[in-house]
Amino acid sequence: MGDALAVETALMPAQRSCLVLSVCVALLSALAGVARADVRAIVVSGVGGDPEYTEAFTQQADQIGEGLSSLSQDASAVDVLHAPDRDTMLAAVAEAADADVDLMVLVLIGHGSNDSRSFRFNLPGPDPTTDDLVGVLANVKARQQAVIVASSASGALLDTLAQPGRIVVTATRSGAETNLVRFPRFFAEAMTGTDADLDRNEILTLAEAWRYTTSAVSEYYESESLLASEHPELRGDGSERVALARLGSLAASTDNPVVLELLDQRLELETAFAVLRSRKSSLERGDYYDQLETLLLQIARLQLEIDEETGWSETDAGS
Amino acid sequence: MLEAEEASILEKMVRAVGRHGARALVVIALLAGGQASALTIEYAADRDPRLKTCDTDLYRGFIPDAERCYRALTDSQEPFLRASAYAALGEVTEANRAFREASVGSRDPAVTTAWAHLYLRTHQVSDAEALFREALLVEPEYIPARLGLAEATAQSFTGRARQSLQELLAEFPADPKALILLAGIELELQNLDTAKELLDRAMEATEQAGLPPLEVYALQAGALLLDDQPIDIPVRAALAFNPSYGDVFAIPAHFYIITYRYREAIDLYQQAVRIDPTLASAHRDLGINLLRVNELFNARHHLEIAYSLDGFDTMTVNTLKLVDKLDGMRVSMIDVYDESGEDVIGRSLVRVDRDDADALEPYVYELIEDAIRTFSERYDFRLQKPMIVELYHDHDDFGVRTVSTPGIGLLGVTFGYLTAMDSPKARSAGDFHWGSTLWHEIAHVFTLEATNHRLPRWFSEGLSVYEEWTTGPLRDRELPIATLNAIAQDQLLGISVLDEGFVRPSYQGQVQVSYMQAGLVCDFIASRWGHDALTRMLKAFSRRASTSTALEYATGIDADAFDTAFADWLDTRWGDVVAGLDDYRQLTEQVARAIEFDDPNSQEALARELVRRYPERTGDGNAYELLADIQAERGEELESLDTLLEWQSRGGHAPARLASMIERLRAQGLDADAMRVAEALNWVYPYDRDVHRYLGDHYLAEGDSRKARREFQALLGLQPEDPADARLGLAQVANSEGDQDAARREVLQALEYSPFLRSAQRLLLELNEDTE
Repeated sequence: MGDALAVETALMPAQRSCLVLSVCVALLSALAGVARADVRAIVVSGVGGDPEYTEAFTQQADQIGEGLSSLSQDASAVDVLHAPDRDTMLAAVAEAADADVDLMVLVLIGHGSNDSRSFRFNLPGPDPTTDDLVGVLANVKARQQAVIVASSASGALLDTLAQPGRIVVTATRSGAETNLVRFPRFFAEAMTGTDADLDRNEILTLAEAWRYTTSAVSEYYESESLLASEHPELRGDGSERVALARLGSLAASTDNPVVLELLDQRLELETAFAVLRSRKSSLERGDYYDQLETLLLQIARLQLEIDEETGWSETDAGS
Repeated sequence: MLEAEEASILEKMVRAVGRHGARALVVIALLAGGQASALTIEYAADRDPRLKTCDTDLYRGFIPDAERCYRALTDSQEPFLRASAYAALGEVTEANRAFREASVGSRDPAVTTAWAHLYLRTHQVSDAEALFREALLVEPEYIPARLGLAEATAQSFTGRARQSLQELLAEFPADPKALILLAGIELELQNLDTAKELLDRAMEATEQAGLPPLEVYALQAGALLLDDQPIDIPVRAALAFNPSYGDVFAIPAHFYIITYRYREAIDLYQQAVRIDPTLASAHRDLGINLLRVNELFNARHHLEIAYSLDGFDTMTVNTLKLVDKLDGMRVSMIDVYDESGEDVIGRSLVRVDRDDADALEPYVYELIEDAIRTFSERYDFRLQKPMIVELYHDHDDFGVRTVSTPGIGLLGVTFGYLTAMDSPKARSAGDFHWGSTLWHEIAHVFTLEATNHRLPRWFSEGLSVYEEWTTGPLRDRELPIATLNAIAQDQLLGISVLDEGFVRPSYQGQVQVSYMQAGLVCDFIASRWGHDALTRMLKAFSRRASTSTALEYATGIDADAFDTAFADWLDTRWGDVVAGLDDYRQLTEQVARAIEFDDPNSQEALARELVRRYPERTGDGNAYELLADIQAERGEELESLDTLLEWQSRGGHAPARLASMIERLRAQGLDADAMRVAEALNWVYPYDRDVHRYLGDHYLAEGDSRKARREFQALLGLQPEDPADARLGLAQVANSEGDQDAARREVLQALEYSPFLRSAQRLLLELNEDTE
């Protein structure tokens, strides 16, 4: 598997709450280890039931798969399956679960339903159920998992799938929200554009994608004057430490050793930046901004080097 | 009989009064929604003589004697007598219970009517009305119930009450209560001669019936006050009769309010509560009017007293809640300089809801500054005090601020130096053009204060409408179809009676028609005699001239000649549109059919014809947008945009359309037009982040740092998910002005949020002379 940069430092609530410097440093050192994590991902689009939906699900799955692929040099790290049958999907997930990687990602896009017995993800033939998903995800070897179920009624899975080391994202808050969801459309946007990359480091984290998507969903219903029929949910900690995509010029530099070396240096500065931010409330204001300025100048200079190496241009990161 | 639920509501309110310590002999005022008179005297001829004996002491101000007298009657075995005694004592719980007892098995309309009055006193007008009607079912001609119903309906439907009272007086020309009630209504309508004649008759009637003349004196004072005469004589007479009769000040104070003289009204209310500290209605109205002159602390003090005396009064409760909210609004003060930038020509205190403030204030300041400069010069008047501008993001708060009641249909209101209005957040996007509304209201501040509030309503509204059209941020000239119809049907009023269209409308929609007519009259005067003629009229009004006199002074022609000239001008300016109204309607119907049959060629031809016939029409149902859509569908993008630019330049301001125009214009590289449209959008919908970002970047590139700052501050005020761009914009503005410290502060805040924002990184390096 290829390298996956997976640290996000600008806005981590956990880091902001760090009060003791040594603890923060220890935490961030651990994060740094994830910087070159291996990834294995499965993206599945379900049956649309209507050509328009089928096309939308397919396209969204492709976009998300493309974003995830940017994390790795290994073309086989990400599998995108369009309307597979239940057994094919479960076999693919089982194979991914068995991979010895740092991060495993499963994304399901389509229609879901829920009754008193189970959630069902709509595929040709028999649908995979809650039990199927629980079973196939029970033996994941990866240290961190992200399961994103972008379907109607997906909220039914929240409590069942949530567990330590696994972040679960659903498009709805319960199994009772059964209308078509807009979540995957905006999630796919987040994965391929640059708008969701709030700190503009060209690494999209799950936290950033989540924030962008939920905001866009909410704005959608507001602008259409519709009562929101989906309320996305996220369970689990550390979404800011889970990288989902490299963006812009960085996406095209996954195999450039100079860039990787510079990124390692940048990671150290980002770590220092996060630590400093976490200490903001304990520092005198002027002192804080003086230290911040020094650090940001170092980051800016280093970024100039990275950009020169990657060929970054204004169009790459939307800044 | 009362429904159980209604009775229960009264009982709850009765209990509330007990909790808040209503004291004996407090007669709760009927004032609601700015009604003139609170009749507290019992005029019913069939009132029990034993009660009348006590009443005599009460009306003379012998309160302890009156209390003893009523108290003795509460021991009576007759529930109706007991109820009336409790009611007079202000013990409404007991009164209500006794009335219920009295009503069991009784169809006596006197009982029902007296019980209805208890509801009226506890501000449950609709329940009171129901009881009055119940009494009239039993005895249709029962005068006290007819009078009670008129009194109740007068609080919301003055016209209907007036008619009822006129009918009643035709049958009973000497009924004192009918005369007094009708006199109050006539005074409201400022029909002074009619009111005085009614009051003379009322004085005679009360004397003959042996009733106290107190309310007659109070209304006489009101009549004198409306006539700009001293009120000493009736006041002295009333106080000689009853030295603690506070209503002799509070009742006339209302007529100051309806003529916008709040400070003078406050003086009278203060005298009212000084001689009768238990007069809840006077404390309430004092509090409400102190708020109108921005004396929040005193206002709260009197409102709290009013509440302790009368916990039923929703106006008091609503206003107290509003005072709490005012404390939480953000207040700022701006100085406005003349063009030279040396002299302060006005100051303004701006009060905005905190969550709206950052986004709105930059625009509000700009408009206020522009308006003060414009109107100071155009009306040759400098503000003598700071002007207070309030924008409420909750329409009901604005309603309470205005009339102490939520749910009003207004957008803005001006109380002298205080202007309150809905913020654009209070309504759906595009519901109203907030910039134009604020401009309209600030024009009122100038015209009211330049004349010490001595101008007729039509002229004040006319000037504000005219200023919207002439100098405001939205200079559309669309006349609503109702106004065009009124012109066509010869329904416009002569200038000397134009005020009646506002205060005494005779057909549905006449108030709105009168607004437009007043604006057109001012427009006509300015176009024929120059804007100075309007200023001359304003000065004449400040010297208490009538409309006819002011008009003749300013234009040299009398009202009749003016009406003729105005009609000619109107015909020249709007005659074709008015004459073609029927054809216009038919064309509109044809367009609808063409849309239904998906016939774009016909749609285009018809839309062009509609635009040709009435080019000023840019509001809902205008033909420009249809035409532009057809052109766009055909791929004629530039033609489509030209059509929309014409629409916008004539006043089109639908926010969604403007927003899409901006994008399309930018896509065509027509940045100058896009900028103009973006500016226009902010005056109707200031919450579009992309528009603020776009304008900020453009102004920055153009070197207009003031406007660039306004845009980035507004953007920041909208609390975007990502504030880095706004912070960076502010940093760039500061840098362009050479303020490197501010630039450094802002850029660090941008990077603190978004550490890899390249343009912010570059600026930081540049500020540290380290561009490598």
